[in-house]
Amino acid sequence: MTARKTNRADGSLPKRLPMGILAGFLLAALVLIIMTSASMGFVPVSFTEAARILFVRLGGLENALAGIDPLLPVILLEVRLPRILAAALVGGGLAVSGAVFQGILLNPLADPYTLGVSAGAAFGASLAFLLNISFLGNWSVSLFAFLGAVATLAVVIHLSSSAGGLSSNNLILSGIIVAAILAAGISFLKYLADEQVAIIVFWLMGSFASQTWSNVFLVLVAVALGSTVFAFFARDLNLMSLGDRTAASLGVETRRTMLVLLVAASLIAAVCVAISGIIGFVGLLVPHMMRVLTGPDHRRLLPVCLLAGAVLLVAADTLTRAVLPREIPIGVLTALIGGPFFCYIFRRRQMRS
Amino acid sequence: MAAILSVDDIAFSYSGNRFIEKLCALFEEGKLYGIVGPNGCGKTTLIHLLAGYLRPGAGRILLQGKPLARYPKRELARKIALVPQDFAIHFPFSVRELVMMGRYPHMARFSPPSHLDRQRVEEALAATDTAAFAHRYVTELSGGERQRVVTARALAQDTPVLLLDEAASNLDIRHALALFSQVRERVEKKGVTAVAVFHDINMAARTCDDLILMKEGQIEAAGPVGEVLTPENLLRVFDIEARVRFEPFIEADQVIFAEAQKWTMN
Repeated sequence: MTARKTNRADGSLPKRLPMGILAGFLLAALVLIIMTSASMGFVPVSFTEAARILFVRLGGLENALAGIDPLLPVILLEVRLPRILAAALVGGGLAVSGAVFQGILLNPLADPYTLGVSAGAAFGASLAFLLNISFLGNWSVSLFAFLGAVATLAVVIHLSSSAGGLSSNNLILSGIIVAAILAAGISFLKYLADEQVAIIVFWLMGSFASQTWSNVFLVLVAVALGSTVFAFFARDLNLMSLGDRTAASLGVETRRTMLVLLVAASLIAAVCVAISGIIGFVGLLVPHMMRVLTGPDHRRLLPVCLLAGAVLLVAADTLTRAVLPREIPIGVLTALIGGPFFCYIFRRRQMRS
Repeated sequence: MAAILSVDDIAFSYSGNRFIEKLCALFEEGKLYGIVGPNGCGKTTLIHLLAGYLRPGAGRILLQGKPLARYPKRELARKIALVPQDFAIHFPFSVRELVMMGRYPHMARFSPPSHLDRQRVEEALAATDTAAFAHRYVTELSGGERQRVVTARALAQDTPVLLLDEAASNLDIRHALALFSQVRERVEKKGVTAVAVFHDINMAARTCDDLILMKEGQIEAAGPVGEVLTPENLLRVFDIEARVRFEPFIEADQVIFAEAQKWTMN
């Protein structure tokens, strides 16, 4: 007991919030920001009206909507809510995927796009735009983006696997090489695209405009499946974050676990990119911010990242949709806010060590 | 005494180059083995083969009569613990969290630590003199402190086989002696089989029951300390003249090496 007190006195006791409090706080913040966001926009809806519409919808009591303009539920439920929920799911998905990447690659600079998923998706989408592929209607671009991401992932994993298993350095290097080749390919596609180049550029910058319920459902499935895998492997992920050999000596089937986690994290990222374009920094920044609060134990870190990423991206998307005079692409906004903030965190850590 | 680990005519290559060939060894229960040899002689490779981290290209290693490769990783982690040579840790786990990871192989995937788990962790913290900073982040500890924490994790694993790869390389002499006396205690009281790589031959001589002298991927001599530590063996393995004498102060054989002139001349 005395040892405990000494530690507290010299301030070296890990200062960590109980996970219940943190998760509860983030969940409340998420509900609040979803309702606030729903009430904001071109057609003003008061907060109470928005809350009533959302809750009544959940409860199914249509007649409680008396006195509300019948257009408002349509705007809220068919236009705003899909967009808001898509932003929440993509934000949570990217954040949790980023946390997993940083854990298995032992690299604080890793993010969901480290294995070239974003470059692959961008290439696929550009190709779909250029060739005017539309046999699946609105889904064509998303499908091509997804296929591009998955193909890139397969190539990168194939490139970096050796007899000894997947090494973190090999994966990162292969990701960089393949992404560089694809970036050149995308430039070439843009060059060929003439007047369509604007569409490609806009898509690449990311957007949650015109999201549908089916998009929401798609990301929900991806994030839910991925999170289930992460929950199952969270303890193994702690050991993986200590390095391959340590993990193996503590009973982890390292090769299989790494492959499962990489594929799950990349598939979440691929689906997110496919429906909303490339949104940077969420997957890099949120895990860093949350690790400070929860510590590196993935059983606490991952659920908190999921919630915090959702809150952050809904806030950012609401900012660009309803606060700024003109909508700027969400990918640009997250980079503009996230970049300097990351510099700040990075600098502060340099000063401390 | 039954052999718990037996190395049966194994070979191992690094990128096509035969490194270890026709290597045999037996490790008995309740004994402490020291592996000694010059840099690059294959000490760490042998430890990694014994840990199941590397797989032999030919031959097999049997743990309690069953090939290592046939054990699921988790079951193996309940039988063999490894204190690795490098102990870099990138994420700020607390010391107690890290030592608790040694209990993971014994705990069901989603269950919290049991009373026994907590007890083993506290014992391991006490044994390595790390309990005083159990609440601190491993990332802010010194190299020697972190090495003791990693050793504590392996002790908490509570396995019948304990492998140590230069586990004292960063420890001051007091902590190094304390560490090996803890290992000895487990060997004598619990019948643990410990295999340790030493860079300090005199530390090995005063600590171990048996010594294995390695050179260029081969075992040059193996057996009780008194039989292995001879001037002839030491000259053959280290290429330096040496004398061995019994030191009554610690009641153990100790080695004194000659000046390294001959070696530097070559």
